Amino acid sequence: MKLGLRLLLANIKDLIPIGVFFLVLAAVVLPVFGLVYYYNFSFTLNFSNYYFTIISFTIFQSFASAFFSIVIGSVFALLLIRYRYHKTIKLIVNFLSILFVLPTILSVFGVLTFYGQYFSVYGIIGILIGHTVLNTPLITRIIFQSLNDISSNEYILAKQMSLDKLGIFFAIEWPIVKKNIPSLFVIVFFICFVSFTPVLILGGNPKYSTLEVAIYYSVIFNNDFNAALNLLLIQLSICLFIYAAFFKNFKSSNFIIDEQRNFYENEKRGLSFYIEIIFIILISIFIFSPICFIILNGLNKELINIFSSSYLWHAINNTFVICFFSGSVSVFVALNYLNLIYRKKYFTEILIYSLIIFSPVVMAVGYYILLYKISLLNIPNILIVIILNAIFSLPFTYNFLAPSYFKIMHENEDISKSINMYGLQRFLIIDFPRLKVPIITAFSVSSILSASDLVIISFFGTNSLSTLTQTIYRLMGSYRMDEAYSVSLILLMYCICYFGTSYVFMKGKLWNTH
Amino acid sequence: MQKISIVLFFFIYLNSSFAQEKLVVGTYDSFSADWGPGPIIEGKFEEICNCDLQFISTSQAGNLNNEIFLNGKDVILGVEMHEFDYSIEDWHEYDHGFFSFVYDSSKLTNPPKTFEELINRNDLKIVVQDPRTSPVGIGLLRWMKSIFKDDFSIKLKQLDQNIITYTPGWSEAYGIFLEGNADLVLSYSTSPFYHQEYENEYKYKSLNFTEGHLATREIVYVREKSMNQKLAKKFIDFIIEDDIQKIISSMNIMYPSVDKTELVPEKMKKLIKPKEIDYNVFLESEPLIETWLETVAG
Repeated sequence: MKLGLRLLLANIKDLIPIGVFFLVLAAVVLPVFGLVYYYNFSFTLNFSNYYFTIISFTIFQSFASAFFSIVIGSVFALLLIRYRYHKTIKLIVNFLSILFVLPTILSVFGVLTFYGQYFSVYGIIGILIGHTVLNTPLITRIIFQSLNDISSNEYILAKQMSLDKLGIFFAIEWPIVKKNIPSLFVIVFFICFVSFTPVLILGGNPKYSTLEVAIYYSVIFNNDFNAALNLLLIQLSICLFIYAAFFKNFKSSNFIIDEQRNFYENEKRGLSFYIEIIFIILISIFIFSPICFIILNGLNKELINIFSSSYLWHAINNTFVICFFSGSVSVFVALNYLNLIYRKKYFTEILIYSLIIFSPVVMAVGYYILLYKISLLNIPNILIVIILNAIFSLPFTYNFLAPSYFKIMHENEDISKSINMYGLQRFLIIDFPRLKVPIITAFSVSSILSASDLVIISFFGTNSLSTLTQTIYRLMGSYRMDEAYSVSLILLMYCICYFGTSYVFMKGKLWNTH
Repeated sequence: MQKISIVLFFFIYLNSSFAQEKLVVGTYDSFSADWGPGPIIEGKFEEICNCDLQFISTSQAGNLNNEIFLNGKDVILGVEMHEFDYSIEDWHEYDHGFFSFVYDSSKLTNPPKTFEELINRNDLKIVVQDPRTSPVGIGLLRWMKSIFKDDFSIKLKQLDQNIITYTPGWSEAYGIFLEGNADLVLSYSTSPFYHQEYENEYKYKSLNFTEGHLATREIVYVREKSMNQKLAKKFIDFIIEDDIQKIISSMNIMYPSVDKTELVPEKMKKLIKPKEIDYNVFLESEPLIETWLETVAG
């Protein structure tokens, strides 16, 4: 009896992560299976020229968008890291995560308003600007985090070897940036590949389109799931091919860097200082245009009235519940998945990243069929919204957690062996205190990402279950543009508060188990 | 984690209501929103029906015909007449309007008077909706096909020169227009009423073409699969009662289903009601969209 219990306990640490792995697998495969089963899927390849045009255009614009986002994002991260102790820079860094999760439509309006005055933004230029504005913050945030992990010893060593800035860049910083590029490239490529609103509005013409638009049309207007699944299959194949070509040698576990920081560079304020500051300001203006747009438009006469409307407080309440729980679920799943990848090398990360390319519309429909048509389960809508959001934010949660997770697990290996502590106990006592900051960061990002969702909530939301983002769109759909902008400003404040609270948790001793 | 799930479980159960007879009405967002006619209608109907009326809405108007949205609904409110399956027995039109282009009269002082003129005016920046994702976008294609018949694709090509972008939905297009990024937006002839009634703003006007405008009618119907046939029919009769029609007209920014002047809001009466175009042959959306794609993207 005792032995059996002990065996069970010993294996339980594997049971949960493996269970989680299969849950993720099921989360991806089941809805597709549901669709295939329900609609008698048949694979047909008869595509008009139009599809070939948009596929080649999509590949081109995704490459270009990813390229520009990565170049600008890395340069920005490298500049920010030099002045990371300055208060303004700290603020910019904290705002980066918020930028990434604002409703897309507002970023698009920001681009139209700020750049539309100077030149025609519609077409390929507009799409590239839009995608760069949207994705640069994510890139900067993740590269900044990695650069921040560089040990000050390395800088001191570089100084002793009297390396100049360029030397330091090539010797220390470039290797870190380089390691980040494959995964970030894939993420941004995937995001741009399935881009919907920015491509439609900024493209200006249906010849600049994505397969996602065609999928949406087949699902929503034509009820043609066969076409939708065929398009999804093509979308998946292209993206998996890109992944295999660029990503196969990459593993997040490559990140093993020392900690300890606090190396202050005392430099003379020469010409390069001013050039760097100018670049920081320029890039900030570029990527902060959506926030400027929201603040400028949100401060209007409707703002005060809105606070007394009941829909706002309902929406805030729902948004909070959805954010909090889906963020928690997402972090839980990501941690277990990381655990599995860390210990069992044959489990792959592509499952997580492929979640980006699974068209949310198709997935939502797939779940709809599973849950209602086949009546597999009878669960309340809010739970579905939470779980689906947790799943769809996984790639980002995972990416935020992975570098620190692998680093810390690796470093704690010896300690845990020496005191003979394994499994959950080890995680809670040894690893968790050091992982607190990345966990909370990943939690905030994935929570807020769920707040920006529009597809899942439009399928599974009800009138009493509406989020802030959905409220913004609803207001816009009823001529109430000013109110929509005000709610956007409130959403912005909400994000700031959410991040702020998480930050307090991070700094505070509340969670400190040591 | 366990505690959280228990808390969540209770939270959800407390939220779900156990009521009398329940009537589920599927509609689009702007109808059922807090600021739309939905909540008022809900209150008024529940006073007389001894039932629980529940609106479930979708943000995409195109969704209304989607079989996955239909599931579990007794009544569907808001299907556009062109998308409606007339083999269904119990239905009624509940409001109507006309597609039109809206402009800011303080900026555009010489608005085009015919569709032909609009097409040839190269100084205008127009924003419209993508017909693949928006019913208003399909409306434009039907409207142009009805006017220009065989010249449809030529005129489409010409108009495309003035169109700055095709947006996913009505909201984005209207937003771009209100931001001042376009001179004209495809919307409804009654759109200026909203700004007059609720914002006291009179500068927005809609174009009135001599060729006529395509009408759009919204339909409410009982689903044949509904278990609440009697209650559902009662709801439809209720929707076309005069006082409800008044509410719909002023809050949904459309004309009431029948042309009774006393039901039309004061400021809406003062708007020019466009001439309705002859629309005798039903135009399927798919061939129109195909032509549009070939012409515009080709």
